[in-house]
Amino acid sequence: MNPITIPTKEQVPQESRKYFDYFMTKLGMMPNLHAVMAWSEPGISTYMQLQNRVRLLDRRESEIVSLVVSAMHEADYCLETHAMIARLNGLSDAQITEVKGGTAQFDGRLNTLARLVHSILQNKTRADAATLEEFFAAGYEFPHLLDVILTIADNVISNIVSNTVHLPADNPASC
Amino acid sequence: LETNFRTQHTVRFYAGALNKSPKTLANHFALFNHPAPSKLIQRRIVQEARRYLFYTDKTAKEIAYSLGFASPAHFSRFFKNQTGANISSLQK
Repeated sequence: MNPITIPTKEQVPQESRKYFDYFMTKLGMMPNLHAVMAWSEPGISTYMQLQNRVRLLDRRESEIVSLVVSAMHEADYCLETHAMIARLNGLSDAQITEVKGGTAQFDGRLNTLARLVHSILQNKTRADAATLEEFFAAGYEFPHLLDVILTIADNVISNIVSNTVHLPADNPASC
Repeated sequence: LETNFRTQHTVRFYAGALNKSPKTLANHFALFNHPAPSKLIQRRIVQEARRYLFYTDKTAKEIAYSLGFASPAHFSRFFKNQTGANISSLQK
């Protein structure tokens, strides 16, 4: 039996409830991931701060990172969400499928990003030197690398949460 | 609906695809206590609009055309009617 349930706004600590209001206003629904994290106020607030930080990577680049990481961790909930976001940001289904495998040959620069993320996880956080070299050669700089690392970390958190509590997909009828 | 909502906004289109009249389709939905077909179409468009606003940097104008509206003004009126909120208030 899985003891962790997806709470309603009324079930979570008072300090966590504002996040339900935030998502209802912005998105019209509460994602299951954030609902579960709202069981802990420090949990949800720390995670939201990480997600809402100023980013150097653009939307497409962030989704490339998320798709590679979530695919390697076989996190179905996250994969479904990030495929949806990637589509909204102009990636085709075929491109999304390729990115899940750790490459993005449809775009040279994005390809160095996908391959770097794959290499970092594959080699237990030690990026292959040549792959890192290609990433920098594509015009990325060290602050970008740090943003990649934060994006990986964000996804590792959500992948573990979703795989641990077996998060069901959001709103299955419309995904 | 999932395949066509970006371009087709009328119940007539979906009823036609099922070889039914819009009226028959609405009656079937009512029989099973389902929200009206027109409601389902509107809801799906609103949800997609919210997703664009939340997850992309697209402008209201770009979103309006992606969702099959004839003009941005038409889209913002629809969004305001459906949600009570202005598009600009949801853009980060």
